[in-house]
Amino acid sequence: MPVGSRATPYLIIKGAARAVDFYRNAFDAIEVVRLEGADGRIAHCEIKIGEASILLADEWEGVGATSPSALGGSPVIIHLEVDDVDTIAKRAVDAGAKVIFPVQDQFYGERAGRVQDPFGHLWLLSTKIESVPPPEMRKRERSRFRENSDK
Amino acid sequence: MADARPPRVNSGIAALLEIAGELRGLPRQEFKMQLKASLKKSALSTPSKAAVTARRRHGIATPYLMIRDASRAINFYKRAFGAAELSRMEDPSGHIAHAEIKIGDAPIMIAEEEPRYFNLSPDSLGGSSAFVHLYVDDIDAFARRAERGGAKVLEAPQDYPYGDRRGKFVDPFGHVWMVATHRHDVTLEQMKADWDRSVAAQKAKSVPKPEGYHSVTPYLQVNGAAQLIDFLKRAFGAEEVMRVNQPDGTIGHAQMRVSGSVVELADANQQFKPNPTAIWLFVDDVDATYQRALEAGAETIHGPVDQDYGNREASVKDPFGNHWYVAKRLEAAEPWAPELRSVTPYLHPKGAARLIDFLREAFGAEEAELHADEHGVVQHAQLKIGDSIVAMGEAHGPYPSMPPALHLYVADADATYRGALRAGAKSLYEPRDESYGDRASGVIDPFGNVWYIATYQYPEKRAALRAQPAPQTAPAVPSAIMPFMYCEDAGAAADFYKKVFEATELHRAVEHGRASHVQLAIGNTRVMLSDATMPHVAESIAKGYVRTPHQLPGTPLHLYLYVPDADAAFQRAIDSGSEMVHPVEDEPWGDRCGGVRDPFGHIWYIATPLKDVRR
Repeated sequence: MPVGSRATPYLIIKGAARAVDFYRNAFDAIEVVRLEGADGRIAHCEIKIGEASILLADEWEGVGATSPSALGGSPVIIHLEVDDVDTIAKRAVDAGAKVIFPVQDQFYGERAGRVQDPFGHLWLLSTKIESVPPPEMRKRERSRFRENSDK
Repeated sequence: MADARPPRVNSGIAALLEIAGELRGLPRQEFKMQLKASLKKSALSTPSKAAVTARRRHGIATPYLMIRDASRAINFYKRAFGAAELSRMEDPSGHIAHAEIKIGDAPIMIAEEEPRYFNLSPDSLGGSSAFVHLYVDDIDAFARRAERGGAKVLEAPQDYPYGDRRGKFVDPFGHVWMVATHRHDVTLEQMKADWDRSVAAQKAKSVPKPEGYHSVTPYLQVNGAAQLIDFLKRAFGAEEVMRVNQPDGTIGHAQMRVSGSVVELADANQQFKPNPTAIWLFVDDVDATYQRALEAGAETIHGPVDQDYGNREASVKDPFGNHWYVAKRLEAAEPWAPELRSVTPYLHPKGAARLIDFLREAFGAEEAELHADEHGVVQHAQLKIGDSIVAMGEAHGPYPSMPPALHLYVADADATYRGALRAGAKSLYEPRDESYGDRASGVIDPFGNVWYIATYQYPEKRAALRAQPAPQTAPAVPSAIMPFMYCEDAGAAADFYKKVFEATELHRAVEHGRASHVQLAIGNTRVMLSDATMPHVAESIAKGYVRTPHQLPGTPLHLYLYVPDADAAFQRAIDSGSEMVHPVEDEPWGDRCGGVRDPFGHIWYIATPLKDVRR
């Protein structure tokens, strides 16, 4: 089923059904389709957060589907643009997510913060607050690294 | 909240810059102007928001990959995935702090792993649990290029029923990519229906069964089971797996392995009447098997012929009336469903089309083959039930209706039993835990076929059931005398005695949907309840051998029963509809005892030795 030409994150989750509930509460996700295996585990599920599709499935042995709980983290952060990052981040935390970086204005023109959901997946929640033209971006970037190295 | 933020460059201008960028590529001047005006209007007209935000979009998800050696990874993505680099930010040490690439239309973000920021790569974690799902124009070309470029193919591209052709890859940095080309649209409903069907099939296949069993196993009830066993050995090279002998010398149950499948059989009795059965038996050598069957005592129905439906086949009738259609699929013929087992029951119902409906409704059977003539009469059909097939053709000429008994293993015997009753079957006996471990029930369908619907319980459960000590009230050895009690409703009587005397049911035989015999243990005594309304009892009644208490003005045989608490048992008997014969009193012979006449007319003296009476 086409989910647009964007690259879509496909999340492997231990307890995928509970995760869908979490994404519903935290991100207003809508369930598009859910296919369950004979044992009730989710073999494939598509949810939509606004315009964004997210695919997910339960951990499944033998096909390399290992959850963050088993790996001890996730090497992919889902950059999720939302229209009001403060509200969404608060709801995520209320629903059980952990704050990794609090929401704040970022030099690259986004107001963003990172949370880890109760299933170990990482979300960089972001609202675009300004368009930073490339020369300005480079300027800010240089001063940012300078600040960092001064510390 | 917006007020708390530091002042920033005029974001209205930033918005217009972005619009300008998007306009650059557009073709017609006129359209450009028109669009520009409308975009400008929308960018600047929302009063308060325009000041803070350029364009807000809700719900855009972009995978942000953490990578050890991100710079090398970007080169890899360019080479192997045809990616284009959009932007790159490096920290002073030259590490990529943030980069964006595009594969086709899809943006992907990348950063060098940095444990201080909790950014860990698949190399550090030992894998990934968030894959990137990507649509491309040509998955096969993508796969070739990716593999050449150094990606590992986890799953070669293949067509999926939901309309995608998809492959799965892991890149040299440990990220997993599911890449697909969309071939055709499949509605969500269709996708779900396909999926549900495949799950149902999988469930049926994974239904636990005893070793060597399939979902459907014919159960042959014959007069002369021992001879049938010999016949099967001689004719078909069958192997005896087990045999349970009864004290009277008959065979209570036997299992034979025939041509790789199981056939069950037993001596027929009052309850389990002989049931000549037709079996489609697939063998390696039809001619030789046919010959052996004749030598073993079968009579021919027809000799080996190549049938136009693609089988070489011969048919024989064994000395017990069972038909054996000995067959081998010809090599040139298209193969049939794998569920067609070497032992496949072949039904000859009257009204095959209606039987098919019943099988669908009762057991979720699915058609594998269906050939009907112009009048809709089923010539040949194969119905998939679980991992097996039940074949059939309308009864005719030399193939009369001969309903078999079929042993059916299902995931939930209770549910399937109820489903079969809803579909029109009649109960032979309700689901019960058998001492050998199965939960089993029996029904007879409207065409006379008997179905023993069972759930094979896992070995642990079987072991536990077997290891269970016999119910405490049941004796290890039956007492010398077992009262054999006639009444009008043996099932109801059994239920009454279980309730009133805490009897344990040891065995229940069912005929015509009623309990014909029930054996109970009460304390260390067994009683047999026999239903006097059963047709086979009529003769005994006619001869004057049998009467129920209700058919007599009294009963010449009373039962004197020791229980742990005579008062309580007496009270339960009265409360359950018995009539008092004698109140509970201390008797000179050393018992406390009361007498009742139960609703079935039997008279019981309920006693407890005085020394045991707790006061």
